[in-house]
This record gives sequence, structure tokens and C-alpha cells, in this order.
Amino acid sequence: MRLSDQLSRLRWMAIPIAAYLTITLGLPVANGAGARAELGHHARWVVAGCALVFGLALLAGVALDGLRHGARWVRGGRS
Amino acid sequence: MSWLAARRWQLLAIAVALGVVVAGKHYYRGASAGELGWILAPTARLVSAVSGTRFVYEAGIGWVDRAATFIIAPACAGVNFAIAGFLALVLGWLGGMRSARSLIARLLGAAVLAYAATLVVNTLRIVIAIALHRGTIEVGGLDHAEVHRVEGIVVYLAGLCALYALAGAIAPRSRHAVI
Repeated sequence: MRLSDQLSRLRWMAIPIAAYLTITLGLPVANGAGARAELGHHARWVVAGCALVFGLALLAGVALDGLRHGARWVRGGRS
Repeated sequence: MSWLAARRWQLLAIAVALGVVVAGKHYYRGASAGELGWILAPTARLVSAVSGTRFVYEAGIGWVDRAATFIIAPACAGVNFAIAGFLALVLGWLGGMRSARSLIARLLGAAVLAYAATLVVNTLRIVIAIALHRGTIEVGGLDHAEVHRVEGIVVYLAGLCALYALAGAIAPRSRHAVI
């Protein structure tokens, strides 16, 4: 499966990630905390965390596909 | 039927979800440990059971284990996770909200599921945090506060995605949001 298909398969993650960003960053910014340096620092970690979780999900998808392909190849080789 | 009339239950659900988000954040900002007992007490019990610690309530502070030198304070309650989980579930289940009955059922379901998921995910987060605090898990290059912050972000976010995926498996496929 191509990378674009793998990314497309993870579109569902947009909703939980958007909900998380709304609560952790959106509302504090809306309440005027945007100018505080601490929020900027926290925001960098939040964005990095989102990238990490998305990356891990992508890797898991690629690994599962690899395992499926491998299992199919082994079965095909035997028959 | 107009677009607005056809989607009135979904629009109402979004309004309710946003109301819960704003009211929940407002409540959480000023809540004491005692007021958050409905979520902190079961979390402290679960953490004690899983990690072998013994957290007891101390008024004005939270749930404390002096031997482990660890406090489960109001900031550890996981209310932000619960609110984010509720919001994500309501958005994910919007497709099935086509009547007052289905709206109420899904809103209640989202609230119950978000609460239960908060207990599980927050327990996991605190148990890992205790292990990090004890030095069982070492993360080089970062101080304890930063490690605690990163651990919280990753566990909460992964938990939120897992909750959403689980909700998608529970709800009929055609009724779960597809972006």
C-alpha cells in the first residue's frame, strides 16, 4: 500500500487530535493565555506529541500491511 | 425539508458538546480536590490497586502517598481528557443523531464512555508517572517535569485516539464520522 493510502487511512485521527488541540491549546488561547511563554512551550510539546502519536499509528499501519503481505507470500509459496 | 431542519439534532448536539466543553473547563479551573472527588477518588483507588501504592485523601491537597512521595492533585484529575473525549465522541457519532431519542442516547453514551476512558487512561498515565518518579524508567536529557509533561501528552492523545477508534467499532459503521 502506498504512503498516500496509508495517510488516507488515518484520516479518522483528525477528530480526536482536533478535540485534544481544542481543549489543550484552543481554549487557553481563547481565554487570553496565548501571550504567556509557558503556553508556547507547552504548545511545542503538544504538537510534537501529536506528530509522535500520528507517526506511531502510521508505522503500525505499515508494519501490519507488511505482516499481511508476508503471510500472503508465505501461503502463496507453499501452495 | 431545509438543510437546517434536516440537521437540527446534529446542530443541537454540537451546541451541547460546546456548552459542556466551556462549562467543564470553567468548572475545572476553580475546582478543589474535594470537589473533584467524583473522578479523583476512583482514579486514586485504581492507581493504588495497579501500582501497589496507598493513596489517601488529605483535605486541600488531594490523594497522597507519602511513601511514594507522590500527590494525585486536582491538576491530575484528567478532566481535560474527559472533555476532549466527550467532544470527540459526539463529533464521531453525529451521523447517527437523527432524532431526540438518538441524540440523548448518544450524548449519554459519550458521557459515560468518556468518564470510563478517563479513569482507565488517567490511571495508566499516573502509574507510568509514578514509575518515572521512582526512577524505574529513565528518560535521558529531560528533567522530571518535562518527562511528566511529555508522558501525559502522549498517553492522553493515544488514549483519545484509542477511545475514538473503539467508539467507531461500537457504533454502526455508516453512522460514525468519516472525514
